[in-house]
Amino acid sequence: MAKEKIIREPTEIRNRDEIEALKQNDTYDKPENWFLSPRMVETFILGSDEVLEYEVKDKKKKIKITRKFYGDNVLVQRSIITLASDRGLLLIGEPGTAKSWLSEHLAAGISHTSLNGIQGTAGVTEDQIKYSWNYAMLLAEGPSLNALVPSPVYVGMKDGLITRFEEVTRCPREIQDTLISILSDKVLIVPELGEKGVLLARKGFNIIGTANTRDKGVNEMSSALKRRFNFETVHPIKSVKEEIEVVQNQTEGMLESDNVKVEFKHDIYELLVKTFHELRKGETTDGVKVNIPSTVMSTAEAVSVAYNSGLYARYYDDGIVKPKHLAINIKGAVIKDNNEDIQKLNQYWDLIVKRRGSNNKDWSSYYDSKKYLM
Amino acid sequence: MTQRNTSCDNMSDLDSKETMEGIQKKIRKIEDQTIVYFPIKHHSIACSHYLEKAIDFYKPEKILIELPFGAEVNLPILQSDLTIPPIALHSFYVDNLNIFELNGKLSPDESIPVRFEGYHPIVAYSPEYHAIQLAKEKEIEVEFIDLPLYNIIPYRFKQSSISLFYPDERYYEFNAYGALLAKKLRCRNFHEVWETMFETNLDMNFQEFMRKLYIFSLVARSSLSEEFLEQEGANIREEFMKYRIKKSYQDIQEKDRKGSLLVVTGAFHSVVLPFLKGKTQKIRKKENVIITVPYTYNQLALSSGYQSGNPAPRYYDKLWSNLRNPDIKDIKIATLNLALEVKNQSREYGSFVSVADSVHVFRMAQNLGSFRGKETTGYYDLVDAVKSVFIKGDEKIYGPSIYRALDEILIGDEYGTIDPNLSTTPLLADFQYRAKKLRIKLAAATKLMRLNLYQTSTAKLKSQFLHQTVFLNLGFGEMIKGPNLIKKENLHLLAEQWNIAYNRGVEIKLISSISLGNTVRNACLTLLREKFASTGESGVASELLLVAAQMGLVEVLDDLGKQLIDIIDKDRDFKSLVQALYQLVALYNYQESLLTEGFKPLLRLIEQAYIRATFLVPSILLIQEDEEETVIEKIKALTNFILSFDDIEVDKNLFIGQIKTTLTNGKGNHAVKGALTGVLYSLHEKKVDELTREINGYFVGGASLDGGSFVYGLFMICREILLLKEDFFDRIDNLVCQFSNEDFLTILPLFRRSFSLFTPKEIDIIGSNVAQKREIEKMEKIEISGNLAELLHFADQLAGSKFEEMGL
Ligand SMILES: Nc1ncnc2c1ncn2[C@@H]1O[C@H](COP(=O)(O)OP(=O)(O)OP(=O)(O)O)[C@@H](O)[C@H]1O
Ligand SMILES: [Mg+2]
Repeated sequence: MAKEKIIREPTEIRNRDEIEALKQNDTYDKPENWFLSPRMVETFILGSDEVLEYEVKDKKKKIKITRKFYGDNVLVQRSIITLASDRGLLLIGEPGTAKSWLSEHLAAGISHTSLNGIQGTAGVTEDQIKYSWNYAMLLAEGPSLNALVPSPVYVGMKDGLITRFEEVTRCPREIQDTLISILSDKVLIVPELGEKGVLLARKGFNIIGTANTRDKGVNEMSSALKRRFNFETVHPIKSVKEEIEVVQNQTEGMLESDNVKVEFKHDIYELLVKTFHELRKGETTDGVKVNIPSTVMSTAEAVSVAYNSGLYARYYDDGIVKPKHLAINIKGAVIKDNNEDIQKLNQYWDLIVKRRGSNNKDWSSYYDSKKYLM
Repeated sequence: MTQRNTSCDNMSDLDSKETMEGIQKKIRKIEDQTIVYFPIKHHSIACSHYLEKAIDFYKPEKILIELPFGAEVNLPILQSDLTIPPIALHSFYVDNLNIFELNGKLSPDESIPVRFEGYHPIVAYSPEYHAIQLAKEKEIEVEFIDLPLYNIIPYRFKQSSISLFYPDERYYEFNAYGALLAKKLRCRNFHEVWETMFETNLDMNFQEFMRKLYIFSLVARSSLSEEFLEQEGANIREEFMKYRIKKSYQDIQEKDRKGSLLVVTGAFHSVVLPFLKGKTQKIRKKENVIITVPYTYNQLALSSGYQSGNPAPRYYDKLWSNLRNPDIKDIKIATLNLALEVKNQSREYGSFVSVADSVHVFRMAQNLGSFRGKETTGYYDLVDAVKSVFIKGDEKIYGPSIYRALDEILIGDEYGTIDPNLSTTPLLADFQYRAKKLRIKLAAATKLMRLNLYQTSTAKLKSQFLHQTVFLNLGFGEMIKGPNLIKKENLHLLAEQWNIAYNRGVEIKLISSISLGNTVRNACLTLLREKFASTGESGVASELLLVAAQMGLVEVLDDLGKQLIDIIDKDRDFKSLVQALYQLVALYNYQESLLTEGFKPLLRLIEQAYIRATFLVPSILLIQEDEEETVIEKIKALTNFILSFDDIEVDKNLFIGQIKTTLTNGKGNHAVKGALTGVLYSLHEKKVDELTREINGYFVGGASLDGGSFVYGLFMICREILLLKEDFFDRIDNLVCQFSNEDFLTILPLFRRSFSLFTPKEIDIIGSNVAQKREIEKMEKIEISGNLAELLHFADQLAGSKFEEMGL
């Protein structure tokens, strides 16, 4: 099969060298069926200064594990230990705080695949959570394992894998509640198959759910289901410096894999991230209060603005990302036509950007791009 | 699953003066000594645990401990079964002669001596305390070897007059090695590093533990600079400790037997003491007073700050008592019990967590512990597990009640006890003595006490004593009824009613206030002088004078009075000066009952305060809006003073002249202008038609915010004018009638504040006046509660016809 370029590879593919190195250096105990030990999963996610040696086809190589998730280290530790227990993990928080991202990396580290998952929506049915049938075969052979179409949960239980359940709270409550027995008894019964229809979960199976606290649904989960999860609230990145690092790394990675060559200076990233960080927090780094827009000014949105600005610079301009490209995309991607938010953004420009522009030429040209916000 | 390398040899990235080899050599030297230097961290269970093993093994003749030299007089208290930690050794020294030249720097004034105070907090599991208990049990001699407070004042008291001991905690905290380890072990702070490396491993042999701690301390110490240690006074303390060690060694019988002398100090010192020569310091007996006081876990956790010291005193206490219990001897159970306690406590705050959750916490904590490379579960593992399991939703919403429960259970708020047969501090004794003499029963149950101030002289004395206890903030008595001279409330009452109750809190407060003085009276005097010297506000200072009189401390009045003249002269705050005037007049009016007639300079002070306040009148036009109400209240008080105080010739014209110049020159706050205009009216310096002309002036151009403020200020001073002066009323009414409907509606809210100054009864009168004039019937009241009702009612009547015109 010819190697086709796919839009976004899963993390276990993107980081296959790192995972290989971690695997070869993993001397720690691990829970049954885990691909890496808890300690190595932690290192995979939080990174390390240490250089790891490993071999590929008899060739010695060296690698440093990069940091994937920025923020609360202890939260990551707790999440890993939760996943080794008999309770599921529910990551909750504001949009764009890397809940899905963290879930993906936990799954990749623990089960070596991040692809076994369900996307929660209002239309999800019980079949999609448990199993369904291939009706042609069902009619031809009657109920049999061959005719059964396993769901990701089914696969997770059968193979002892982490199963990801995105946006759990968007599913109807009855559907959510099918998880209760799965999580507590670790068994799934297919009545049509009689005795053969009892699937006992293999060790290593667990569920990582994510839910968005802006959706309100989190509080409405049944308490029976809540009891089967440990909750972790993921907060936006606290340090501007780290957030710049995230946005820059992510954007560069995306532009590179799309083969978009641009010049994108660190200082320009700084403009963007500061804007997002400060508007989200309602306060600038030097303590000036600003109005918080109703739109989510998340890190994820910042990445998307940065990426779009890169494309814009490349295809509509000379390939050098400038402050005005940021302004155009902030308006286009984030604020859209929300009048109140446009006003708040304008205030930010008048109050903060202008002042910074008085002694910095990037901020000054950022200020001059105010017209694109209208 | 052991996951982390928690050994100490992580030196590679460290900018250190020592090599690993050098360190090994030093350790061999330390271990070769016949004197055993047992290293500890304060409040560490592990250290207490291993220290006991070492004492069992070496059977020392004598144990030397890093507590202040001279505090041995406290040994009977510390070793009594009736003494229960948390407690503290409290050292203090009052620098009456300004020997350290810090009076005025660490105290409010050069005339006020600094009270230097230091605390050595002690919990049941403190290694020092445990050693003292073991020494009693095994009849081993004990001596304390640290430099006392007096000698370390030049080093340790640079910013504050109170110091917590155990500085070595900080030495680790701010140390590059500590930071490096925290990063390597992914710990959030030094305490977690300590927990991971030492606290959770109780199964080594003690020599191994000592060696591990030696290495740790040597590396940590090597990354601190000599200057730093010098400035902190670490060197001089260590030299002294070594001197005491050598001295003790001479008295020992079995000089050649290893461990016949055991030295218990912070690990930070243990690794250098063997290499020092020792040098003594002059110890001054009289200046070295150290007593044992009850302490609380709360104080312990707070005072050491979150980052260092003991983050969870009660948590470790539970661990320790399980470890000491011969039937349990296991600290796992404690973790489970604490998880259950946190569960119960957070249910009190409305969290729905179950026993099953607590068991899950217990298991998760164990797993986190082993993930982090610990042999047993630690404090941070428990806290993290509770966070994961108990917070069922958004941390912002569900977190606070859990965190609160966690703090309450793991920090705790228990008080320690001191053997009552052995401890009486002079202040406590004096309190008890005076209570007895005054026949005030010291019982725990709250008791009501009624004092007829004018009937017996004991009632007066009792009242003074109770006011003293309030001033010292003992929590003993509370006046629930009676004349309040300070607030000028209930001045007609002749009796005071007090609720009194004597409990542990009162006792503890008395014990720990020892540095204030030996008697209740003296303590009040000290505190009074300190408070007096630390305020620059004449209002506050005058209030203190009144308080002093209430407490019967007549002897200080002359002295404080002299200082007050100076404070009044320097005070630039109008409000504070009027406040001073107010308090001084109260002192004057009640001098007979306060028995302060002998205080002669009072009238001079009153005059002085009046003149200074008058002098500052022009400044009050410049105040901010949120101050205007209080300022106008003060203007009113000043006016009342002029109108009513006639025991001295008050020069009224001084005030009037200042107001006039202020009003003609000044731009500024319109409410204040209104108030000052009102004062002129009250003092017969302005006539009604002048007032109305000024009001009209504000409204010629239609609605005016400033006009609204002006009227408000005016009414605050003399609202009776609207009720009593018909011509004023007519003119205002005319003014209102001239407004267009639209203007009227705009102006109405501007008057809202002014209307609210009138009582419902007054509004009724005004209303019927309007009605009379217009010959219309009183309109039905609109049933809305509060000021708004009054406002509507008033406006409604005042301009009834207007609403009708508009069809409202
Ligand atoms: N703390 C962080 N560390 C690393 N990357 C981050 C962090 N916060 C945000 N990001 C970036 O933002 C993106 C977050 O997107 P992700 O979809 O994971 O957020 P989410 O919390 O799941 O949002 P939603 O609630 O909208 O689903 C990641 O791809 C990552 O690039
Ligand atoms: Mg998501």
